[in-house]
Amino acid sequence: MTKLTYSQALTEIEKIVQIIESQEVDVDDLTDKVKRASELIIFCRNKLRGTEEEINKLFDEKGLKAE
Amino acid sequence: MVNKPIVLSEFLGIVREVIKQNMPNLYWIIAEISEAKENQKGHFYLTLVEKKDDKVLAQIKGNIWSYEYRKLLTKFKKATGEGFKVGMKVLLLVGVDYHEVYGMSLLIKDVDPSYTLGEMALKKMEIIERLRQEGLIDLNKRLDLPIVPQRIAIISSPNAAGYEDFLKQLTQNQQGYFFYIELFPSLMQGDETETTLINRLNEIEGRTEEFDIVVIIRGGGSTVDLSCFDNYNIAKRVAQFPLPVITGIGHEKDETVLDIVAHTSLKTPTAVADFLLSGSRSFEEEIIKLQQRLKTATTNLINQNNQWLQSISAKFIYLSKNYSTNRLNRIYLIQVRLQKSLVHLIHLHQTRLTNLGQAIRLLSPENILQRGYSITYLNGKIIKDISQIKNGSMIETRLKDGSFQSMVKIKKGGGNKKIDQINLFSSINGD
Repeated sequence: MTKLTYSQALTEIEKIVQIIESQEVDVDDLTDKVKRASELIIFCRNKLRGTEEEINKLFDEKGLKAE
Repeated sequence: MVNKPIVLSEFLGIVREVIKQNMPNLYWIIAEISEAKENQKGHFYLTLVEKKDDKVLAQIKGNIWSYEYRKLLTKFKKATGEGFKVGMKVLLLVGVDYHEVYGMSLLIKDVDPSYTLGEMALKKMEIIERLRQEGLIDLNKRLDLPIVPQRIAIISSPNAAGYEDFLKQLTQNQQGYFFYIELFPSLMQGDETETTLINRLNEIEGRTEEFDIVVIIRGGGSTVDLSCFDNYNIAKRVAQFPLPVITGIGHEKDETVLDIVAHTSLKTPTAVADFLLSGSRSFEEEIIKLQQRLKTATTNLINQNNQWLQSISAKFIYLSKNYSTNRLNRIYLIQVRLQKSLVHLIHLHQTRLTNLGQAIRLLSPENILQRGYSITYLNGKIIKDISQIKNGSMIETRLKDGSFQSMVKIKKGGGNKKIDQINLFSSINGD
């Protein structure tokens, strides 16, 4: 099982923020992108506090895993 | 000259006297300690040597009487942080003592710790130089520190106050950051340090996947006996370690060799804990900044899209209004033109109708009859062709002011359009 690392999460969040900031995002994708970034942010902040396992479960259920 | 025989004690007594008389002063000498031992009475016995390439060039016993030993040890420890240890080079003030039973030895009266300090520094520099030449000195520093070091293998003496401080500082943080900490207990001073510390490092290396970093800490504040960390083998092991090694060995003096090869070296165990916490904290701050940027960017994007929509719809309304106005204008113009042409057309037709009416009037049968022509009917139908009638047909002839009926007696022609002669029996229908 590949676990989402801090740097992977950080890179992905940065990428999404940059895309949205540069307004290169399709409005139809905006919701998905914001949702994904928010989930990653929550994941990181929870992982910092050791609630990683629960989060992993959540991510697994949703099929949201590291690429 | 040959003396008469004397007993051994007498002979050695002469030796003692000779030495005493010829070497009455104290001498500063440089030597290496090769053996050292304190006895129950507090006297300190040692063996001093001079070596060159591991070959002993000179060797002698030495001793410090207990009353002097306390004084000298305190002085020496204060300066070097250590006691008299095997392998140390020392500068000693000595007197020569000869005893008929115990032989020759040196009575140590004073020590100059600055020489030992210099020697230790030199030895340390040699180790550092060797590590540098072997490419080990920066090896651990080249490893990337994980963004958030959260799984920590810690090497410490389990009872050390520094370890308690470290745990307390790290686990009782206000932000609630989580750390997985596993202790690998080790001696952290004395000659056994090298073996146990390296063994612990080996254990951790077998479980590299389970940890982000290794922390080596030692009690706080104490400055004594750090020489075990100026050790080539420990330094080499740490340098080649696959995980970043962070030290907090609690000293205020110069860095040890261990500190130099470590990825990051900090003054105290507490400082290491703070360092680790700051990793989590700055990562979270970065995440929060990104979250803020995400929010701003998304809001901006939505606002811009709304504005765009509004401006587009305003434009649309304007354009469609404009368009319909234009259309209406055009329709109006067409209507006016249509009206005009209709009126014209009606006029035209009226004129033509009038003219035609006149023509029709001129061409009307009444008019023709007026001019003297007549029309002949058979059974109410105009006779245009001679074939229509037979001898005996009753025909009616209409004139301008009346009509009459006749019976055909003789018919001439047929196929010939020209009627040559018709004989008539007429009954006149007058008006």
